Amino acid sequence: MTLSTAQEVVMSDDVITEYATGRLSPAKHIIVACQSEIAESVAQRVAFQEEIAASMIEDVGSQSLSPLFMGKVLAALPAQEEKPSVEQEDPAGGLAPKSLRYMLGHGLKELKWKSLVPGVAVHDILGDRKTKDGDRLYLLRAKGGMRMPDHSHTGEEWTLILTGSYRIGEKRFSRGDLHIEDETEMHAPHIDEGEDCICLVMTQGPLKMQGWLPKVVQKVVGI
Amino acid sequence: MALGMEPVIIDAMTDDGVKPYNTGRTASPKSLSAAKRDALWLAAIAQKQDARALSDLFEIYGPKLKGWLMARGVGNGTAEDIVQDVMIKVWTKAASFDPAKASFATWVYRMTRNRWIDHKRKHGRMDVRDPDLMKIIADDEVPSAETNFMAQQNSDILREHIARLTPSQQMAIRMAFMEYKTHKEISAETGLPLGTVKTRIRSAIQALKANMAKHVSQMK
Repeated sequence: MTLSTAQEVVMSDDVITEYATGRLSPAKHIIVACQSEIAESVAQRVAFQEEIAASMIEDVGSQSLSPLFMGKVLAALPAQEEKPSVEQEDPAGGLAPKSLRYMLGHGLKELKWKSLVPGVAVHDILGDRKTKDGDRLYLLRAKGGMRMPDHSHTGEEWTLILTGSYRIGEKRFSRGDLHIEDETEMHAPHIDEGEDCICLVMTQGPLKMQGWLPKVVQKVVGI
Repeated sequence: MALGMEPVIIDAMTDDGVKPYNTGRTASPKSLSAAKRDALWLAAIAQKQDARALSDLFEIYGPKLKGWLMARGVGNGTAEDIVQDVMIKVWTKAASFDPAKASFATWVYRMTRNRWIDHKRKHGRMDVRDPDLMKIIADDEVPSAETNFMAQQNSDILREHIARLTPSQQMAIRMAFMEYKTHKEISAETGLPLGTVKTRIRSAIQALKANMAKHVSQMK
């Protein structure tokens, strides 16, 4: 591939530190958890910072457990699980990271998509896409070859690519890449031909569309 | 303390034969690394359904994890509920623990953090003005970064390397990893520009990484 992948550039140590110390919002946390499952280089950076964070719990200051705690837990221990012989695979070919399957209760194949415009469908996971408060998390599926309308966002947009790929200018984003944009950037992702592009997306506010037609569409479909 | 109340201490620890939980709490950190001790307890839980090993592990880690949660504004009851969930998970998933991949400390920390994020997702935001938290903050004496790191008896290599960083790098690591502060809050508190805060934390992590890499290559 001649185009550079964006992952190294975009995923800063700051974000990993916030993830490791549990400071990201639930929506962002799930995205980074998913990325570290499918991008080995990110997994290693995350693991390193998690080790630092874990070694720090010594310094935070202990809080004693209540006297009955231990007895209560030990009295009600469930049966142990056997060691899984192979990692349980997502029925749809291992495409949905475990953290995502945990949220959905199933894999990508069983998803119920809601069509937005021809070629684009969503599946909401957390929050309300139409309101302005809080991070919301959803899956977005766009048909291969599509050009998404020019847009920017209110707040940040984090996109983790799960299947397929897209291009913005010279940069190509594919499975395992996390693409973070703030509200200053206007972009029009061009989905590569072929496979559908499925992304796990976190946005903080409504998209700001460029041009009157997308604005009307946005009003009608609500994204 | 009355004689005879002391737990049995076995100084020499081998991988074979000795019941791991007899050595735990009072063993010198120099004679037995915490990571190795934890791995033996985990093996006892997985292979012998040893509930005593589980309780020994949580005598050590339970209060630390509860402290970590409460420092983040989690109330006493919820913090114990989360530690309880994690303890049960350690029991049921013990067979999946792989000491080659991560230390138990990291494994259990990760579980606790994720369980907490999950709790936030389900119950909305925590109130940081939680009365329990205010009490901890009021009671908390914060030693200087240097003495705090140097005073630790844990022989963990990572911690040694943290202690070898410059005071300002240590402070950066401490603020980023220990105290529940955002970069913006650190910037407001220290009077440093936001960009400088981020750069300092990043460069401290890089320095730590470089030192660790050197350490690993020297061991080969």
